[in-house]
Amino acid sequence: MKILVIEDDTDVRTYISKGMKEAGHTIDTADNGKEGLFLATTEDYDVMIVDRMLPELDGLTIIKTIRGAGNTTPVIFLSALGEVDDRVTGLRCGGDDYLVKPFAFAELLARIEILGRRQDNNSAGEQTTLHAGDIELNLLSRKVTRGDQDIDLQSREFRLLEYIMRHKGQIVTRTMLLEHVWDYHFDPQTNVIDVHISRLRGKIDNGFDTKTIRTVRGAGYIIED
Amino acid sequence: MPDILLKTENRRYIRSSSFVMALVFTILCALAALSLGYFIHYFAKGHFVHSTESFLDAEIRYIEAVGADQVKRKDQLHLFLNTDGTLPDIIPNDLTRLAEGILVFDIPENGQRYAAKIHTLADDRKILVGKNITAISKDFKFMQWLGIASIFFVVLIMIFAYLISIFVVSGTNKIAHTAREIMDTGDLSRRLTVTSRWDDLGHMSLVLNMLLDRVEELMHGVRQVSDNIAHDLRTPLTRLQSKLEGLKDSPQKDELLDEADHLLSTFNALLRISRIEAEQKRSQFDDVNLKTLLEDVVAFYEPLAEDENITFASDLSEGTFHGDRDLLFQAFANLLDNAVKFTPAGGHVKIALRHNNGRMRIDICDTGVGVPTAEHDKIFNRFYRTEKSRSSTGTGLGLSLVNAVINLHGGNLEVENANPGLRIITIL
Repeated sequence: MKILVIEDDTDVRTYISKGMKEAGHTIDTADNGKEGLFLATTEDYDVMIVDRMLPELDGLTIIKTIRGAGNTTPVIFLSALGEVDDRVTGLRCGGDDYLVKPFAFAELLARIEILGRRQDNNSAGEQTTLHAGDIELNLLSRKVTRGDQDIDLQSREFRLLEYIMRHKGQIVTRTMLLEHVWDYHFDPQTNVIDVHISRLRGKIDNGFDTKTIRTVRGAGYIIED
Repeated sequence: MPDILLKTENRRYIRSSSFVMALVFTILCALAALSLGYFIHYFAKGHFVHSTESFLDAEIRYIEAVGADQVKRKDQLHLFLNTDGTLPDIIPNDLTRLAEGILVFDIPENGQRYAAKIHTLADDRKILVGKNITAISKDFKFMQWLGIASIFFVVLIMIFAYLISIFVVSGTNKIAHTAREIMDTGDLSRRLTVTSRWDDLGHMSLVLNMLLDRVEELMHGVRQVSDNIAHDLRTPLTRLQSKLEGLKDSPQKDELLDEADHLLSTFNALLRISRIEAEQKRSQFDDVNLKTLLEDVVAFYEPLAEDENITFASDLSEGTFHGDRDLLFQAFANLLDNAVKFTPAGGHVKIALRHNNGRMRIDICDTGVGVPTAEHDKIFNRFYRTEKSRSSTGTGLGLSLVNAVINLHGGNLEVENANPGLRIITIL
């Protein structure tokens, strides 16, 4: 993917671009708002990573400007501010996702890959069944089968599995699960999410040799074929 | 504390200190006027009667000595009564008595007032000896008018005292109301209205406004500092984390990463509490279904509780509340998290939502280790941990965040012993 990073902090900028290059992405960087806006309007990117507070032109203004010009490139905001308020303002101004500094690089990478993939999925149309290995999840009948065995899931477990399977092959972080499955933005004090995942695992792996949902240390979970 | 403030804020005029003081002064003033007036009246009248009587007696003695027919004086009256003992025709019928034996009457012919005594002469004739008292009785009348005027002034003083108390109390009420609004909304840009620089309250408002300017400036400084901390410290922490992630896999790396995570989460929680407390933002407030929200919190923690062999029992009434959904979820999640953390296996956690005097009351009650009564006030302090919880994981900020969130929503938190365990009551 071709990614634009607009960030005034040199350390954070090099940290992101180094990591992204290692993950196989192409990176352009800008250290101020004006230059960032120039690159955003002249080049074609898959995803943009934009800091909220920038010299010359702030992040919100950049996104409002390019959205006004009909540019729909997914944008993820980075911010040291990071309260719910700022998140909402960011998303309302045309941002697609929001990440608070400090963040684990894995979290940023996971979100970037999902944002980039979403662009492709939009053209693929709405799916009615999701597959991962021998697991099939039917979105219409809300049934889950593994091999030829029916798996009985509660609605929250179904949504959890659905979200992980929608992003098959990508890491989903705990924060992403809280935001999308539980629909609340908050920090659980203890790792309750792990308990929910292990319950889900217990149900879908029961009687099978292969483990489906894998934990990625320091990042989150992933399901693969 | 907010309740006490609410009660005293809109004080009734009659109960205000300025009104009471004005009333006391008026009463003292009236008492002084009355006693002085009575003294003057009593003294003057007594003196007048006494001197008139002795004058008339002296005159009678003089007439007796000289002979009634010889005496003729200016400003005096010497009249013989008719033989049948009735008064001469010149004396009008409407007589009044000044004292025993002294008559007072007006002579219509010359418009003068007289005080008179009747005396029986040696030859058995009766003579009426009178003294002109027109001038002195005019003075007396004037004194009566002065008395009425002083009563009128006392009434005026009372009216003024009441008006002054209304003026002062409505002025202080306005100041208290604005101060309350500033506390409630956290909007430090509000100022007290200054109607005139002439009165003392106007002057006080000016000074309070200067205080508010200063407070706003300081708050802005605090926010600036915390934003700077956020910007300047989080970035190196992020870098530390990323460098740790870059290390080769080893048990030590995991330990270091856990330490870094703990540092970051403490730091984030602290910053978050300060921001909630400092900003008092209510822009995200919306109608929240508290029942659904609490059900979600319970469902979120249920698997964890089951793993720990703790049972949940919820008893939730319907209820909506105007507030920030995410923050309220965070607050109740923290409360439930604590309840689960400090309840031993086999214990119970009860969650109840009820209506209580037009407010919502949420009880979260566990059968855990509890907190000594002496420490109940302290558990919402930052980094406060009881002896028993010191060894457990956590930042020591969970309940401070709850406190900040509930305060933002204008609610109260109460802690009770549930024997065994703890009951935390949230009133919203």
